[in-house]
Amino acid sequence: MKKIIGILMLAVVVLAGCSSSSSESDVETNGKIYFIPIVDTGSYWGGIIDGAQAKADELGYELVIKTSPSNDPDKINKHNGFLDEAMNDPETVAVAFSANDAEAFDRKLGEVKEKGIPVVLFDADTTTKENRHAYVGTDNYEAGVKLGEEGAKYLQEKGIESGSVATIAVNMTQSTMIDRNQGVQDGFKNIYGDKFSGFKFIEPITDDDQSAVSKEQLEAQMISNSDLIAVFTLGSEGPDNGAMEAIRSTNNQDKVAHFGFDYTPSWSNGVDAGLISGIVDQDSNEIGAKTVEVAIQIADGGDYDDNYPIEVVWYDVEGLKTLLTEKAE
Amino acid sequence: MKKLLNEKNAQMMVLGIIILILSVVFGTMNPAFASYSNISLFIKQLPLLGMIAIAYVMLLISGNVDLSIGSIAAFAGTLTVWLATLGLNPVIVLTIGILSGVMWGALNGTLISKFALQPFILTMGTNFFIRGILLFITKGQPIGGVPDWIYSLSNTHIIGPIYSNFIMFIIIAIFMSFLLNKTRFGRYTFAVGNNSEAAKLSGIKVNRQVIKVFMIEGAIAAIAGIFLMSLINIGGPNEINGTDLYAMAAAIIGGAQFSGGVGTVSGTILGVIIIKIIENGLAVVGANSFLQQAVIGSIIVIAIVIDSIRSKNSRKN
Repeated sequence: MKKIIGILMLAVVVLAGCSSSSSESDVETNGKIYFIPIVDTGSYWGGIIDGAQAKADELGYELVIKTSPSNDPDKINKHNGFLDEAMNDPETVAVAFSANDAEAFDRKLGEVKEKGIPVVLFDADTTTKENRHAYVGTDNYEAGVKLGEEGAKYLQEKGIESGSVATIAVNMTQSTMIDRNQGVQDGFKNIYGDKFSGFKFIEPITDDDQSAVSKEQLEAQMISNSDLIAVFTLGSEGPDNGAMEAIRSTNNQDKVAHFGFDYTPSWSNGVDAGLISGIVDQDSNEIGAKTVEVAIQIADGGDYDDNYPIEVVWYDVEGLKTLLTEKAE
Repeated sequence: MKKLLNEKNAQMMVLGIIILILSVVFGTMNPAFASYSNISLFIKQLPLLGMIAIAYVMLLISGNVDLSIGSIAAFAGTLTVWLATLGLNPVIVLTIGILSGVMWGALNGTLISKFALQPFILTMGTNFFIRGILLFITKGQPIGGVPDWIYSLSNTHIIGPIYSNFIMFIIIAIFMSFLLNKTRFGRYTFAVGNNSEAAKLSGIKVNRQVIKVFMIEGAIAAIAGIFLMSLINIGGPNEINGTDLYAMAAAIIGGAQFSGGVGTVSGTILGVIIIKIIENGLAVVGANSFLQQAVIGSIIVIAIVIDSIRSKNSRKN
């Protein structure tokens, strides 16, 4: 028994070791770019990292990826620590950072910039724009507006003029989620105008990226709000899948519309079953690649813009089917 | 013995009254709480925490804790879904999935017993280790394309509001109740939790017993993980985070003690029902997510206070 346990433990450690060593590179590079996303899990962040890695490889730089789990209680401290590490590393050429809290990293980012290191924010910006060189990504508020408007148009076409609306996010303390949530409501208001008062946006659900949590919570909200007509998920597979499975388990496919954020293969679970009505998508690969490109451009002393906007594109259910096929290929 | 039985009955009665009061309060705040649809959903939502809490009460009885139980469940569930998507035989898939839980349990039990480690600290480490390995291998991305046979494990309608996952929960509850109350394994588990030195002197192989307890706990966690992934129709490496604390609270509310040697499956089930009623009730009445978190946190605090009071009373007696 002891031998079996020992062999199993060894196998796990060896497997983990082999996998991690394969990603390391012995090739000499032009320096390090510290790349600090909010998390490294899920299709969206995976796409950003893949895009960044490909661009760094292409241009001959080492990408040092640092992050922490989405529910890490010490996340802000840790990410501030990553910035310290980047500042103290003599090989650092640039820092690319995603601020899951617009205020929390503001001062530290300013310190990095003052040290002469190019600072490029991506996906989520910081409060003081002077504390970074450039921002690459979607304006989360505007992206929320786009989703809210398209969702409202969809409902309007179905003749819906009142009802409750649910919202699910991984973490409603993140500024990206707060901006998207506000954007969704304002976008809804833009389309419905005076009739907006007929809608009630109920308390947002926070699920820490756990489908089981969002599923249970949305099921309860559907029970207590019999007039629930739509749910907005603000990004990541936990809320996306949780919402789809809640709609499926309560047989509300014909009653509750579901609008989501960003491409993920998880949508294939619901696209034919009426569990998703449309999404807005940011090209995550492009965000990653552009971030690295801009960071190197600044490090090389080239001209740069303050903002590199990445547009979001609306996909209705048919468009989403095509997108899923394209991505799968 | 008679006194003990009376105490247990009184405890169960108190838990029953709490369930009744909570139901009336939430039902008054929003009648939808008592609707058939909500009761049906409630019964479908109960098994995950129920199974994990039942595994947990056995651990507490043996004088141990396991902070990695959620990660073990997530690992086994995700592994099972992944193997199933490869089109392997269901029997092989489920066997490997459950054995992965047994393996993690054996690892925890072996390290704790052989090196006399504190379960709290050790399992905190293995929790990060198991979850980290899982997230690393899957890149944190859920595994889709769940085959129908996996989906039907939890989602097969049996009768009325009862689905197949609830049946599995009942089977595990009956099995564990039998194991703890009617077998030598159960007697040894209580003995080890009551006083491991005395158990050793009376001829019980304490280390072996602890390893067995952790292996069974791992197996039940794995089954819970598989049934949860079936319920949500993905292999989710992020799932079942924090469930260990709820399970611990449910077992303590149900009469178990951190000091070991005390606890029942039936009490734990009532503890689970109390926690799930509060969770479901708060969602139905539309309470803010952060407020829900605060309320659940306060329940865990209350559970620990209850445990402390009980321990003092036992020492006095």
